[in-house]
Amino acid sequence: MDAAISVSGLVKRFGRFTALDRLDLKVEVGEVHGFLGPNGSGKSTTIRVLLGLLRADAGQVRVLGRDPWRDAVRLHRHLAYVPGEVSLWPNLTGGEVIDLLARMRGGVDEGRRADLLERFELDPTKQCRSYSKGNRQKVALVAALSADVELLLLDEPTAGLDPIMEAEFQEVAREEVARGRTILLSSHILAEVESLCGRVSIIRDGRTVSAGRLRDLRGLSRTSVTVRLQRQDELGDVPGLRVLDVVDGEIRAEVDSDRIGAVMALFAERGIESLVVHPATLEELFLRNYDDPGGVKHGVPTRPGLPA
Amino acid sequence: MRKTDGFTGTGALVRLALRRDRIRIPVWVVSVVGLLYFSAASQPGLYQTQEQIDAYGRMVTQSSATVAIAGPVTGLDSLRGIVMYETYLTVISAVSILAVLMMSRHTRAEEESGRTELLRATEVGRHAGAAAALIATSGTCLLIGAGMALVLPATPLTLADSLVYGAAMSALGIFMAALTLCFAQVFVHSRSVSGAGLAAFLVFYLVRAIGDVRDDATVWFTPIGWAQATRVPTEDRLWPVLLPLLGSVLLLAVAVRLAERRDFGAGLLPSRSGPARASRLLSGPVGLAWRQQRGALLAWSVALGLCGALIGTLGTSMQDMVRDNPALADYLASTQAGSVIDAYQATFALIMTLAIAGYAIWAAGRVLTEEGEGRTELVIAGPVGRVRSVVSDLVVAGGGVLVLLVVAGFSSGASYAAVVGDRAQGLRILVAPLIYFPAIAVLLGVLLLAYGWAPHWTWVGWLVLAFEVVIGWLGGVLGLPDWIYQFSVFDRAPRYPAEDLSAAPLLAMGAGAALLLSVGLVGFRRRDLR
Repeated sequence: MDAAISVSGLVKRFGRFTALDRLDLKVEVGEVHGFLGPNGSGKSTTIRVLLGLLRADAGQVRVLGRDPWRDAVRLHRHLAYVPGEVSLWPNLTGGEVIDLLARMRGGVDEGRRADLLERFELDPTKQCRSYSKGNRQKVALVAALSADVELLLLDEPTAGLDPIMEAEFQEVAREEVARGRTILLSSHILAEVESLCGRVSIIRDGRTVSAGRLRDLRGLSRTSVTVRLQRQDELGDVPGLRVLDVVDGEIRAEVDSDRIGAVMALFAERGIESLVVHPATLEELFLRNYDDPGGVKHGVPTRPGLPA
Repeated sequence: MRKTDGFTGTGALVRLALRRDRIRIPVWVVSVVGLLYFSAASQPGLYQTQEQIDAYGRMVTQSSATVAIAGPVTGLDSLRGIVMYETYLTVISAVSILAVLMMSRHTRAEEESGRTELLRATEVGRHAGAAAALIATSGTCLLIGAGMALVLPATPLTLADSLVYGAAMSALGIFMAALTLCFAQVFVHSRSVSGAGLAAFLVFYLVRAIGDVRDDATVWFTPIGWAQATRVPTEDRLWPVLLPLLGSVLLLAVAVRLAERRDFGAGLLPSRSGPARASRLLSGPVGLAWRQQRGALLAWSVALGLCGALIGTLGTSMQDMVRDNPALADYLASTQAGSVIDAYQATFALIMTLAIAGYAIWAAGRVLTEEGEGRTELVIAGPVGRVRSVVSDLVVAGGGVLVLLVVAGFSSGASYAAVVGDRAQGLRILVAPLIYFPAIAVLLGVLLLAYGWAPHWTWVGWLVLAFEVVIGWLGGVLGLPDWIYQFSVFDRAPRYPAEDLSAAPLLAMGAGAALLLSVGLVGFRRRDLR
């Protein structure tokens, strides 16, 4: 089956500023794909190109097998969108906006609408000008999630939501995927991405710096280890082991994933008093990709073609 | 807490307000003072002999309708009186509208947007924002007054006339600003605040009109009456200027009391909740555009209806004038009697139509606001094409314009027919505004052309309208050269009923408008959404 979204070599310039610089992105049908990147890296620009709101300067863009610029209207029948900054008509109520957006897409799914309103605890009788940021976000979410579509483009959909609503959103997102829908989720909430997304793409300065299965990305990265040993002597120069610090005899270190067995054996020889091992968190992946200004140095190399 | 704590940071906020309005303030001041100057300076050329001046005085004082429109002005036996009568209404409207809009923009609009919150979290007192807004607005009103005092002595008005006239207008503006500040405490949304301010101005104006017609103490209940009580140019009394200033102090005390009773961001009137479901009508881009424009359309219909009715009833005073003034009757007889009344009505049709063109630019210009606010994105991210989205807005705007043209024509035509009993003429008046529809469509075409290809340039729409207003409204007064008229679309429409109807220019304008609109739409299809 064709990918839901496939983008390669996407370039978008605004005057002299290059917002997207040969960006690649592939989202398979039926997955929740995490779309990560620091502020200003081009996430929203990419999504707006995917919607046909912006015109690509170069590169291939296919969404649900269509060209989003030429075929915008027919494409939009099959997707729904939640913008990062939700602006609504101040003199309409939330309920009216939900109905309006749904009707323009072909009709309201009454059951779904009522269910979502209840789950997101949204009062549909308030005028949009009096909604808080979080409530405006909920209006856009309810409108998008109650639509009968194949693809959801969500641009930081939970930025203004409280933790309870955030959990509710994750729940709903899982249901959507279970029903066969595809979600592209741009987010800064890494816990959310970790719990929802099978695959992620990390972009920076308009370029994809890392992409693939979360599991594989972790595998390519280092594992964090916190260990307390009976004998600490001669630990200095072990291949694949990088000691970060030693506090009160407790060693925090990073281990290359392919050397983990050898390092564990070394620890065992010295008598393990306590040991905590965890794979690289998304946060570590993320930071490693960003913290050095040169781009991709010691992070995971760009592999858009990683097996999904 | 010391008493002055509430005003901490006022100075910094005044500088912020001036920085934000560094273009607006000079534009307002220069346009009001400039318009006033040119209008005043052109009068000597129009009324060269004492007979002409006296005829003018008789004309405007004879009927209660003219008194209702601009009030009794003293000293109509001289050019100074004519200058006052001709400029008065423009200046009180401009100053009041300026004061209301500027206050609302710097108080409630800021609070609503959340920017005030950012400032209030710093070392800034509770009343500092309001005080800064009032200082900036009052300062602008004072600048207008000072400008008037500076340039008007170069017209028939004397220095004393100019000083008192300027002072009265500044004081009126300050009063309207203080009143708007009170409204800003009551209403939660800036649109309600400016709406209430403008409504108050209309009420003041109507009360004044009633008071002037009845010639009694009613005029003392309206700040416009206080301004008139200065009796420029006959007496040049300065003391009535104190009335609006005293009133402003009272209103300020009220505003402070109100402000201390309410929470930040809240008003004294709660905002209402609305329907949980959208009505059938609100199902697509057309319904959405209608929802956005219907309130303004209703308000404009009412205002134009009243205006038209007033203009229609003026027909009687024209009739009376002809009857009571044998000299004028002879004059009219010698130059085809009907045509003067026709010319008069054609002129009013043009003036109302130019106002309606303002509505058209506003209504169609919403496409830009919607896009800037990111709401167009929500609509066209659904299965609604770009062209359909924009055309929906335009169709509703154009429909609104047609409604207003009909309202303007009907109210002036029907009232004329009812008062004068001349149905045929009433029918001709009814049609007169509609003839300008193609011209308005051309303006919309210009706006859309800019919107489609260079959205930062949509202000050209307003510029073209301003040009048309200057040509159509003041062209004769300013004595502009003839060649300039060929750039005016409104001037190309036949001045019915003064001129005969001819289809050719209307069809040409329609075709031009269609071309501009299509090219604009092509541009919008091709460009990035902002």
